[in-house]
Amino acid sequence: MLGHIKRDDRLMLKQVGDEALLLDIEHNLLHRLNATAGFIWSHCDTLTSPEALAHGLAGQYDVDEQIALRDVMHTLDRMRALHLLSSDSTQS
Amino acid sequence: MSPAGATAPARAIDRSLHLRVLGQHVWLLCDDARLAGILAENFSLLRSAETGRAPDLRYFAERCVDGGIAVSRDHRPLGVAADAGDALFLVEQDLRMELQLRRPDLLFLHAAALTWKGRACLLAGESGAGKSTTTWALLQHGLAYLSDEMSPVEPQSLSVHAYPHALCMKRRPPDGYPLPPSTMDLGATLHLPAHRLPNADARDTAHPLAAIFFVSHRSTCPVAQRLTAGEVAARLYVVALNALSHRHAGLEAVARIAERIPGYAIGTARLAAACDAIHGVVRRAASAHAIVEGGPMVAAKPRLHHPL
Repeated sequence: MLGHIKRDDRLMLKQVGDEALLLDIEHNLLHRLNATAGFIWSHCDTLTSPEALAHGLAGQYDVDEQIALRDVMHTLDRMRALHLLSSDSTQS
Repeated sequence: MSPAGATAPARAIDRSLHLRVLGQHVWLLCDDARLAGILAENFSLLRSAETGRAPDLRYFAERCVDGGIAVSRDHRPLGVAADAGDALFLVEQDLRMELQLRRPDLLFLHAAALTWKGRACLLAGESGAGKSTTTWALLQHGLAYLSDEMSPVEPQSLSVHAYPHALCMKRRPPDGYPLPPSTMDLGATLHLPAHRLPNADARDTAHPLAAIFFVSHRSTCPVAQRLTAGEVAARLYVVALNALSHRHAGLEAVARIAERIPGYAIGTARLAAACDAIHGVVRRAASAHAIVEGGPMVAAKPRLHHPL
């Protein structure tokens, strides 16, 4: 499980409508994030725990905080696998 | 194609062709009658009458004693082509690269472009997706030719310039869209000179974009399926040739286009039906004075999307 979360600042984010593009020049990859994933990535430097991100999501979207937390955990796992988070991000 | 070598040219250069492409003056010098004819046909709508002007780019194609054709630009060797078709490929490939370097204000997309009543549409897709075949077919449906390979787009004005070299196909189109006798068969590729196409728009002006289509000849669904702006931007980024020469690595340019120009996915395996669908979308866009995209504002909190 992720503890302190930090996004990889080498990536470039661009909002497009309610989605976002995340460009990873180092790995020559372009990721398309939906609104939820875009929220998580763009806020994970200030809301640095999964619980804080889930609380933030529940404030932004019509979703139960427990369900949001489950989605946050899943999304952070995916982002970590795709090298979208900094290697400084720690696991607890 | 053979690698670049130091083979001496067989005889002096005696043929020249002057082009004007995206504001650049290009001079092609060639000593081979067949290649000179192919180059003249290939670039027919890009020819310039300003023959006295100093060129920005100068290409040489010289027949070697061993039968190959040495191609160079401004005395820099580009390679030795096995035949005229390969020599044309070398010139075109380098010219496209040089144009991207000389016009960093434009976003060059690997896409075909056509117009209908002054409004342009793009056909984008990976190599072999059917851009050129669909372009050829759409010309029979009344659209006009701008390019089949590279489309230079002005991100600010959301308009596209022509690059009307010969329409180039890797395979013959399906029944219903036969090639004319003027088609040049260069072995690996078939070239239709732009001045011989049913409709071509060679004006050196930018045409406002109306729609973007992402084509796939593997799909039999000839329905234009609307894409989200995010998906359009992502697909545009993949076919952008010089994204990194733009602000924010080109993300801003593709986002600006995608948020303002509707994008569609369409299968072209059923070519006639796909052309009807594309034509319908472009016709509606061309007849509209303004296109308002987006849905109604929602007062309630939006639902959570399942991430990634």
